[in-house]
Amino acid sequence: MSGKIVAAIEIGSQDVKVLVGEIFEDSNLNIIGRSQVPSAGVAKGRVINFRDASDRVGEALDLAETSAGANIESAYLAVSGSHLEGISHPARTRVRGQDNRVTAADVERVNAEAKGKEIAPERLYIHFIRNHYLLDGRYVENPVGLEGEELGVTYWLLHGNSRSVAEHIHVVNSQNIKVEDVIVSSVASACMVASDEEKKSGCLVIDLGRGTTDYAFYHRGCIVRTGSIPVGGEHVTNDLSVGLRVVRESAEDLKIRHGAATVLEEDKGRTHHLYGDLKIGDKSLYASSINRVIEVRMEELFELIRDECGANELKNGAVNTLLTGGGSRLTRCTELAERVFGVPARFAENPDWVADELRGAEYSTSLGVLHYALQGQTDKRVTPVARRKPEGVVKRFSRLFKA
Amino acid sequence: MTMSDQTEHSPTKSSVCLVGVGGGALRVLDRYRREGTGQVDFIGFDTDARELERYPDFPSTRLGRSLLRGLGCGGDDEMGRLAADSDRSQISEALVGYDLVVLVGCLGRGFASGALPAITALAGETGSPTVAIVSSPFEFEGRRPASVAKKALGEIRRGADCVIELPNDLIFQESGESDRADQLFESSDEWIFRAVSALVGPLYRRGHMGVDLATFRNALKGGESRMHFSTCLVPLDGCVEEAAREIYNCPFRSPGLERVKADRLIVSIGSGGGLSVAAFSELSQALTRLFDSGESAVIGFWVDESLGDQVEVTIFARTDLSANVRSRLPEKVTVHRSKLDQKSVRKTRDRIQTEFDTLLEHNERGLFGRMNVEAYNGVDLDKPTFLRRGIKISMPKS
Repeated sequence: MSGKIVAAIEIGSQDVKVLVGEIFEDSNLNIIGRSQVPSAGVAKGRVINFRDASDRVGEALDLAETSAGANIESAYLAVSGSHLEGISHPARTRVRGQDNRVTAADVERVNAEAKGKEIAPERLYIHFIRNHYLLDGRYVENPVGLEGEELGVTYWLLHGNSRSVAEHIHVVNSQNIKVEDVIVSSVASACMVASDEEKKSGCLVIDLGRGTTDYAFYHRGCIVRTGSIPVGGEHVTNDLSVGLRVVRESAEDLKIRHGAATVLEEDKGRTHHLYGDLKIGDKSLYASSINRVIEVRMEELFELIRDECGANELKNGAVNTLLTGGGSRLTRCTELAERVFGVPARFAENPDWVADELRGAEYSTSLGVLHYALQGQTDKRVTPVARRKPEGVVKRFSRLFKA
Repeated sequence: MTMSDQTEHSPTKSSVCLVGVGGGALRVLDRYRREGTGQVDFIGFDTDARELERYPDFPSTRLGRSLLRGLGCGGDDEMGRLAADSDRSQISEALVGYDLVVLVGCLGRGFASGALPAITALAGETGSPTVAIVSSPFEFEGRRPASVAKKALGEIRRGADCVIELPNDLIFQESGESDRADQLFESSDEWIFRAVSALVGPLYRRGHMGVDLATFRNALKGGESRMHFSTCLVPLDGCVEEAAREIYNCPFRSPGLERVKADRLIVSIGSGGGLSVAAFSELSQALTRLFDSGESAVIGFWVDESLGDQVEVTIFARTDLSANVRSRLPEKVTVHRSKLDQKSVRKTRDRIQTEFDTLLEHNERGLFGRMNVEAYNGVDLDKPTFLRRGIKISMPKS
């Protein structure tokens, strides 16, 4: 094997996923192995039991190496959790170039200023996501060579709690695997499931996980906002368990078999059986009750996202909503999203070129991470000014961790 | 007695210790010494030398000598805490070996807010059951005393077995507009004094049905719980209705609780001698009904002629919060011999499920019950949405 072997690791509340890819000629990626084991020791994007988390990651890495038939040399890690925050930071500068033509130096200067915001010492920048340049108030993709007086740019600066990030890295390091870089899950999954047209016309990508829900908002091809809400599929299960007074396992089963995100007229009066075997312990439950519990929870979740992005910005900026992640498999989830966001919604999977077994929404984050890893390789050859990634993803910051 | 040499107990040591922290509390202690019943040990703590000199009749300890050189804390609760910390060994030495430690303090103004949490914790460490009786500041005193008191109260709750809080604002609301200002402050002191004497008094009064220290200690023992304390003094005529109302309106009663289900209830009824049998039985039944605890109530009755035509009623209730509540004494179940030969006897009625059980705070969060509350923009998102929005979930009748 000639290429470099890299792994994408996603440590979720539900399971640990590892995808192994081989990068050859620095521009092509083949996925050669994968593994998925149930997770432990992680809740809501935080490590709560190091030992358990480390064991499960080790198990997943072993399986992935066996399936790939190769040794994993380095890994890219997806992080999520409510400790991640973003700030929109604009900067402006006068164009200094001759005849008011923007030069590379102008661009570099304005970029540096927009990225130079200071954050609290315990916080750590994870991504610098650049939005469009504004040249005298109009959007331009690449300002170099254009004429104008004032050049502006806005960056979405994503930062996280350094301790929480370090905990995740430590879990992987404990298995003797070097972490090359960390990537925020919402960014990784969004760049995977949204098509280029959707990114250009504007869309909101929501990744419904088990413990957290991540979202990324694309506007004119760039990510202008990301976020993470500490609510996921587990909360829906918990609500059902409390509301219908059933144990967690039954609640999870009810959610998968009968649950839906909206209450329909025909749900009223209809009943479902808890187990369906009609033995002692089985009880009947109203379909409307089950769906009502789910509906209010999901509605609240979508409303939180809508309020964070700004209802007006969404209406003007997003053409549709893409739902991904395991939680999006809930029946009529898209209908509810349409109702809350006021734009069409669809269930999003990975693009066609991905192998069938990886097409499912649950692999979008891992694939996005590998995709990112590939870009990390190709980036080295382009000049800083021309480095504009189609997805709007990113500046590397791995050197912060290599120390 | 001078204030400095009195940290040791006399050889005939009492089993109850009344501790006053700060100026307000010393006033209450002094009054109890003059008017209260029983052989109780008193200990006063303050940093202000002049304040302590005012009460030469009971032992007191000046804290933070090196820190404040005999001055007060000047409203700085941090100073109070430092003063208590600097004399930790002295404090624990003074509090060791009692069967019950009652701590009194007026929170919000410096010393007591800083020192009382520390002293409570030290008293708890000695192993004696501790009860803290505190007053929280009036609203007109400003926002800072309120926040200082709130913080202190939280710390005291962690250290003490039971906290009885008197929100001074309730007294303010009940006072008339033309009432004199000094009456307002006196009435606050008066309520604290009544709480102390209602708590400690029955332990010493000779009663026909005694509520002794052991009963009281038993009630304090156990896991996570919420305590309710309430006391009232009502005229003999119509005492049943009056007592039920007054117990409900008592300023010590935990606010916001319409109905309390007590897992353990101590009712102490004192009379001047004129209480009839019918009235006594009616009164005790009414009170146990009020707290929904017929089986676990302990009724005490004592006579003190100084009460005259009045009846004093004190309620001490405990509601267990931990989920696996087991009754202290298993109920006797009559089982037929043949059933005993079977594998296991099914317990009847282990615990009565009430309508409100699922709505207890820690149950509401379900699987996340034991996880830390991490509020997201001030909302606990782990708690089911339908509960927060008050949406009723209907269930088919089985």
